[in-house]
Amino acid sequence: MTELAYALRRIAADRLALTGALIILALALCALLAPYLAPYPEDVREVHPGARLLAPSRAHLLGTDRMGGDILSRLLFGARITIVIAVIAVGASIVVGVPAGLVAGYLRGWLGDAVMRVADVFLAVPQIVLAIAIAQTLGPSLPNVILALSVTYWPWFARIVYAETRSAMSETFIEATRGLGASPRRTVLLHILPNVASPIIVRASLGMGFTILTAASLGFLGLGAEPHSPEWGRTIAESRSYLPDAWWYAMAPGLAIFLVVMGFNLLGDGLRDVLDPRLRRAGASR
Amino acid sequence: MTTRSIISALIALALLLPGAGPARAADPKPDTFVFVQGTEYDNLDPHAIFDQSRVASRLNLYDGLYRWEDNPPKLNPWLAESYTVSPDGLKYRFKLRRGAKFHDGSEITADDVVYSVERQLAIKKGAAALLGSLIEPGSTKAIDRATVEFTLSKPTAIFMAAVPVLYVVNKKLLQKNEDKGDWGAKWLSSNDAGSGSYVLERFDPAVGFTAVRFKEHFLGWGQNPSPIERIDFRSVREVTSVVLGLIRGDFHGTDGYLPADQVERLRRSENVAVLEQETMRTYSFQLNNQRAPLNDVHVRRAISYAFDYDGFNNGILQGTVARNPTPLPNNMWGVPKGVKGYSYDLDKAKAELAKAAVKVDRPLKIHIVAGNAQSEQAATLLKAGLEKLGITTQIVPEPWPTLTGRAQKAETTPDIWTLWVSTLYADPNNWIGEGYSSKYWGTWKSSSWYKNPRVDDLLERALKSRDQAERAKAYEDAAAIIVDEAASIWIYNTKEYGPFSKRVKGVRFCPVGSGQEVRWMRFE
Amino acid sequence: MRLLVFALRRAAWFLPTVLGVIVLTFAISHVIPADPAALLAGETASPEQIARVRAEHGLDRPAPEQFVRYLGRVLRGDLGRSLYTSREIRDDLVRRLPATLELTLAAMAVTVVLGVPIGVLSALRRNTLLDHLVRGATIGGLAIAAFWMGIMLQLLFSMQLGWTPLGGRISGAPPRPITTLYVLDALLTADWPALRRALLHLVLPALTLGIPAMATVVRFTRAGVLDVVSSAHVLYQRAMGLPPAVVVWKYVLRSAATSTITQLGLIFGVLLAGSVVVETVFDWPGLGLWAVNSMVMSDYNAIMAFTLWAAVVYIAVNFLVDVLQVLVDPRESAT
Repeated sequence: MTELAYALRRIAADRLALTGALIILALALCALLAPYLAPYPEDVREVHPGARLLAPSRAHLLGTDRMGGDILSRLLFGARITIVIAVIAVGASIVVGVPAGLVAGYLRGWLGDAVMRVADVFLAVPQIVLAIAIAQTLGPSLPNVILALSVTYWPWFARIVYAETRSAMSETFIEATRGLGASPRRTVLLHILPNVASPIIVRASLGMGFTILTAASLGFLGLGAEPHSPEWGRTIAESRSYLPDAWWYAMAPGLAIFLVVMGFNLLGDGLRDVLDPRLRRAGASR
Repeated sequence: MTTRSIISALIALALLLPGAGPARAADPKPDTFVFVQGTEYDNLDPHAIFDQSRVASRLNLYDGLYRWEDNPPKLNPWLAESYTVSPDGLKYRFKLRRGAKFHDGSEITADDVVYSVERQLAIKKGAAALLGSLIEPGSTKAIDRATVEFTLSKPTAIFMAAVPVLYVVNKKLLQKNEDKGDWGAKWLSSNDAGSGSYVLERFDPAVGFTAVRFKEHFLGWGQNPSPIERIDFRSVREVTSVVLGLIRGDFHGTDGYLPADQVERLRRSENVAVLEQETMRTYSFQLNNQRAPLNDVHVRRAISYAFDYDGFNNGILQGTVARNPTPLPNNMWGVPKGVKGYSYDLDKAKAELAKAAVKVDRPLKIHIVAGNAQSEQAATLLKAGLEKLGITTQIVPEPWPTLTGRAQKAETTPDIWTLWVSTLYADPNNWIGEGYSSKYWGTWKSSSWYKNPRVDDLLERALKSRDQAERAKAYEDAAAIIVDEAASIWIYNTKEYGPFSKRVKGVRFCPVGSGQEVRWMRFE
Repeated sequence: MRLLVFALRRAAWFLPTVLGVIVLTFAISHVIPADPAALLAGETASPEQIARVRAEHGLDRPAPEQFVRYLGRVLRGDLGRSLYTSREIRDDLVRRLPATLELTLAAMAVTVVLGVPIGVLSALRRNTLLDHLVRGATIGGLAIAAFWMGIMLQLLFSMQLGWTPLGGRISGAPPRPITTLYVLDALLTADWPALRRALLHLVLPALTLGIPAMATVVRFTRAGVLDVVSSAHVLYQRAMGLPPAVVVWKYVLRSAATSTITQLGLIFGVLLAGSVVVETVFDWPGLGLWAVNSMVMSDYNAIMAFTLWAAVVYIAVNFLVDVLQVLVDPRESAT
């Protein structure tokens, strides 16, 4: 507990990480309170053919879209979709990837090799390409996009946990507990898992940002959310036909994606510094 | 590597860029006519494709016996000089022009025409369904080198209207390139076996095709002393790119599918002239009349009252289309007089819904053309209207081939889907006959699966009769019934916006082919 | 000789992974769908048509037998026909490859030529304003959605300033084909107008594709250089009075070079994934756009072929990079 408090204090002291955390908090609040914050909450579904493509004004702070919907209101509701996609996809990747990595790292042997080989295969296909293939085969819909993102992201967790487990296993105290006859389950749950928790948290934060970007790309390409859904990537795709006149239409959702991904990346970097001093901020961030 | 070298690299880059300024006014006369559109030119076989979006290769590389031209469309002799009809109206005899040549220099004979008919019917694509409803395979005969005789399966008023859909291909050339009895389909998809005004030069399905002028074309070039030497038809997916290219003068023409907002931008440009021609492309939501709850006339009427026609036509499309309340285009003959159709009126919709015998107890699926902004917006509008009636909907984007495929069976036809009907021949049968006579069931135009024996009877009578007044009356009566029974939701008839560069003169617009026949055009 | 041993050892990783990818695409196309024959035959096919497709494609055989057939076809380079255009998929792939190759190489150039110097500079001027700006920009570069950045670049450079075309690979006739890379062909045939047109079309897509990858390179390079600069070895050299410029030249740049090569594989993956959206934004007639069109058309055969292609190329590039790395830095082969 004191360790957690210490970590939180460290993050609060890191200005960049704090900014990231605040952005994410703001996103969560927007998504949660969208119906109350949005000036025109009914515009998620309602259309106003007479009020299309209005420039930003006091009535519509971010202007209106091609169906006359208030862009600000729709962005707030879009935040919900973004959060749901990212949280479920990353959560599912953890649920699959962490046990896979633990088992592979703990058992070594052919089973461990096999698990990591499978992970290698998934990592060999660029994520967006594989996600398109899977989502399209299953039939394009939001749940299938989430599934496709999970299926393509778990290997990252598996790989990290595998590496960490392997190095933890060679540490003397674990060798000692095994020598004392502790059951494998006990060893893994009580001694190894806490050791690999930090990199999982770091990876989860960076992974949220990465998944949001990929999900937005899929939305932009027309996979996932149905037409007129306030999903951010789809909104950008819809806005393209109205450039350059309706510049605000394309601008706002892109900035929203940028801010949110930035938030997760900053937080992830900060967490890495705090939780895992061996990895430095300058490293890769995928 | 120093800061200085990076800066100099950046400066070099910056210097390279501005050279491409938009000023083009003083350019010399272009040698190539560049036409762009959003959809791809993926197949050049004139017998495999039959849609407006790929009409350019048919009009410019191939010829038919007759051709529709101008607006309103007139039927002009083309490869044929004239025709005669037997008294029973079953035999049509066409006299071919002497000396007309294919691109390879060989002469066009009656044999080629017969081969073209058989090929079109055999490959069962493109215009085969229409042609096959008029003539049987094997019934067409070459009487001599320059005379062809068609024998209709039964008398019909629309045979001549349909003749231009048949394009004549070079029999010997195709037979040489046949692969396992495929009628040369694989070869012809990316090659040229025609006689048209332009000869295929290069084809890349990823980009489009270019063709050069055919100097020996049978019509000669007397009517156009300074014709365009090379044509370049290209697919450019993004609307903004099309518009910018037109404004800059890189492109010289595009189809009439631009969003209204972009048409407005083009109007402001000094390089572009926006042609406005009333055409006959109608737009509707097809309702599956065979499936509950849409098999109940009250439910169909309720849905018809729940669409904001004015918001769509005048708000989203900014008045670039005209409200068209019946299955027939307003400017076609046979339109019932005094039929107002449906308006956006939720009270009437609720009243109709209350009268319905079946309940709408499931979400209705609205299928639209994937990536097509207009059908997305129409579906969104319908969804919003139906939601106010307590009817939930789901919008499903699908590729056009999948949609037309689905429409071949009532079980797979969506509850609701969006459909444009273009002018493939200028006769009411193109819209109302093929759309609502149950004998056409199984084609995508008739995907409302509407069946009313009285309407069937009226439409059949109109098809057989050769008396114009009688035909018009039959169509008017049939249309009035179909509208009353709300078989589909009819939305608009297009005013075609064919933006062309101001330097291009001589565009001959025709609803059949949308003015993409380049032989009449010249640069100024 | 050592190199050969190393290459063989890496090949032992390379081949099973490729095989694994083939298993994966097989699973997606044959196992996930409830009825792959119905998928191939199209939404509307009659039961007889579906049955015919099933027999034609051997989909009625047991899964292992199907896989062996599938493997055989793939290894012969037979990727099947497009369900939409019924052209050979291999032909489409080959036809569209040069466009993607040209774009990727240009983006790679942007990435390396700009990314490495910026990274080195940022590390050498650690904690100066420049360093802070660079670090801020890299964090931003990794958070920006490539498709949105492309649209914003179009908005500024194509629509407002009118400097560059919005999309496409070239306007007018391409230069006489030698390599089928337009820029290179234009240079080789001294066709300067074509070169200008090709470059103007290329610059925005290459930047859009290159910038996120560049952010990664800058971060890596900066970290690598910082490592070297603070290493005991370099500190000692400095203490011995070696001029800083020599130290930078001798150690820092060498380390930057090796770390760049190390990253090439990773960068290539980023570029490959990016090409899908960037080609869509810029109407670039390459494989990425082809994949997206195939997706819109539900052309499963084409999507699977693209997936397979992307994976094999990615694995092959990483294999080559590994070997290259040993050539540059023989110590690597030990690990």
